[in-house]
Amino acid sequence: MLKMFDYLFGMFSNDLAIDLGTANTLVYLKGKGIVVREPSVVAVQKMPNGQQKVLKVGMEAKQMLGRTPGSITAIRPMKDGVIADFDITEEMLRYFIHKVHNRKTLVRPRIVICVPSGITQVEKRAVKESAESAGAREVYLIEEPMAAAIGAGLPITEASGNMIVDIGGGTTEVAVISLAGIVYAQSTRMGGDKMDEAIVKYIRKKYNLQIGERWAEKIKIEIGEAYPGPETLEMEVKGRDLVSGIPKTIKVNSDEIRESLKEAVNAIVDTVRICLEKTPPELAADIVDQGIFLAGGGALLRNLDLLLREVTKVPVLIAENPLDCVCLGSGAVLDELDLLRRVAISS
Amino acid sequence: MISPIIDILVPVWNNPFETRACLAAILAHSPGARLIIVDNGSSRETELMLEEFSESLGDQGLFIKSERNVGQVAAINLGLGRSDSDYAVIVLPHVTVQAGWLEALVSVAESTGAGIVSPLFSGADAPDLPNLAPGCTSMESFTVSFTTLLLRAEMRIVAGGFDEHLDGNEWCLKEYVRRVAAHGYRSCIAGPLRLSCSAGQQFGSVQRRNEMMQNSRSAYISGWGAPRHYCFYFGKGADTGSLGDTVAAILDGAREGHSFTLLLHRHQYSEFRKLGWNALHTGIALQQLSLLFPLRDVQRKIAALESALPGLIAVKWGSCVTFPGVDAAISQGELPSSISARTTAVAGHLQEALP
Repeated sequence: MLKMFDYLFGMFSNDLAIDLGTANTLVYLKGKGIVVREPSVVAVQKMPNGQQKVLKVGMEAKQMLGRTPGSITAIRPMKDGVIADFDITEEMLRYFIHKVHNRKTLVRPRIVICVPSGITQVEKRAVKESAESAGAREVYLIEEPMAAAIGAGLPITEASGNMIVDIGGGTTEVAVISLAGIVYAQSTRMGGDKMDEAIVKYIRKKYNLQIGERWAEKIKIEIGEAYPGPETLEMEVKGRDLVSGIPKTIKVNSDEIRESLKEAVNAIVDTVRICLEKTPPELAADIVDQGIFLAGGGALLRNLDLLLREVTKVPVLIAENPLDCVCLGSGAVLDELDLLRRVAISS
Repeated sequence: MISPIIDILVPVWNNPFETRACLAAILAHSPGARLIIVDNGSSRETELMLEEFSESLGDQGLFIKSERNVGQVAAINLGLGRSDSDYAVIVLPHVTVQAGWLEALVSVAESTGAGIVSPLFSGADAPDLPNLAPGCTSMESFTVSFTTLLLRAEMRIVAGGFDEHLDGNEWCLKEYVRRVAAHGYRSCIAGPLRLSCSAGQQFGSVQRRNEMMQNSRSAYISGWGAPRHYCFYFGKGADTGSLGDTVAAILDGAREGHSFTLLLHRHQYSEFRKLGWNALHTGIALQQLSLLFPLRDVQRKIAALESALPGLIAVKWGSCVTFPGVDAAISQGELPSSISARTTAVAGHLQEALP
């Protein structure tokens, strides 16, 4: 009986693909494309009875970060690429499902959710249950590197080896894919967030200036680089002087930011290098021919592709739409159920 | 009699669950053998599984770690380099051994003196090895598989390891079998025991594998000459008793990688079987001619063989014998020089590309 209701409600629902990132959540609606692009933040209020009430999700919740009164907390349920709080994540999923269905309540969509590679069985089951509790009729999990590879247009179903490097907010995942399967994957808890932290620390140490996460991210995007470019870029940065306590503006340049990002970038480069070394020579030869593909927000770090090419001696290409790759890839499989069944991981 | 010392070598690259099952089965069914595990650049998950597994092995286990994946053949050579036993048995991780497997292989090696012994396999993705003649427990063969392979230590000392520059499969093995044959060591397939095996991992694009296969084939041919296919017809009146030297020459040819089809009249076929000549080598196939129209059957069979194997060489026994359907046949006297000639012309079936 329940299955019949599921089937009926499913007819009025649109299939979704969700990229639950550490920094941002993207939702792909079948037939429409990416319809939601919001921060992975939830504002909750602690009730007198000890329960938590969700107040805001996404952009509105992010705007409350650092500005909330005592009883309200703005939290990120995803940490380092994995779900840290399943109840909050379930609420976040419920919010996004209802948002894309224009707040209709009786919807039971089929959902594809991207998860980090190497996720444990317990975590997989928990993600599936969260999604089902949030209203999903059917839940498929696919690994982020696989979704990124599909989104980047790599020929994943062929026997040739493909290497994808997905640099997200919380983690960087490097995977070698062949015959619609991840043959080898390596991940590191180094991503965009840690790059921002590194910039904050550097400026604090060098200039005694405290800047916020948003400023750090802005610096990273505007003048951050992994490898020296033809010119040195500069920008003004606003923060609070740690000695005097008053707001102050300084100038920083790309050489300094490159220095601050060195450790984070080296961690990513080492992960790629190790993955190449551990790949069988037959697949490595294919990768040398086809190149290494970069995806995720971190792929946009200036000259990261040049640095990787310099170290690995392998061509490096940036996916056409690196920020949306994972979501686009998981959305693409909504239209190809046979492929979805091949690439989905069992829970 | 002193039992031989045996090392079982397992090259590992990821797939921790399947590998663990393989190792556990080896431990359970191979009493007295030492396990050499070569970790060929596996992930941390597999590393941890191997470390945990090796802990309980003590002296019965040797754990070799390569930080990089050096390729399967190089990993096997790495393990063989550390083996100092009488026999080294390579077992790939997608094989599940069973009770009596090792004894069966060693028994064939000891009774035949073979340098290389391969078992048969079962499973949808099992390697395609030739079948044994009915009633045979072992048969010489030029075709073996890395899936499971027993190697004699003294043979490895004189012949060396596998060539890491070849394709890691068909031509690498052919080259090795040919090389050990030059030192007087035989290669056998052991039956009737069949080891269960699942699909092995095959890496790289079809194009690249094809290219590698072609390059390896060329290297083999330039070193050892092209393998050829011969079709023999002895004539109805040939006395089986006088064919001993010819059959010995045929066997020598099969050991060098050439293949033979012998078209036999009924009485010859029956006598060959009595003498055990149907079970000499998997590269020697006996075909019985029909009772009623044997010469027409010869023509039909030779036409079918020529169509399937361009470059087929017809051989007639004796100058008086006519080989129906064949314009140019060599005589058995010319056979040894034909076999030893290292021509680069390739028999037709070897030119097939990978699917």
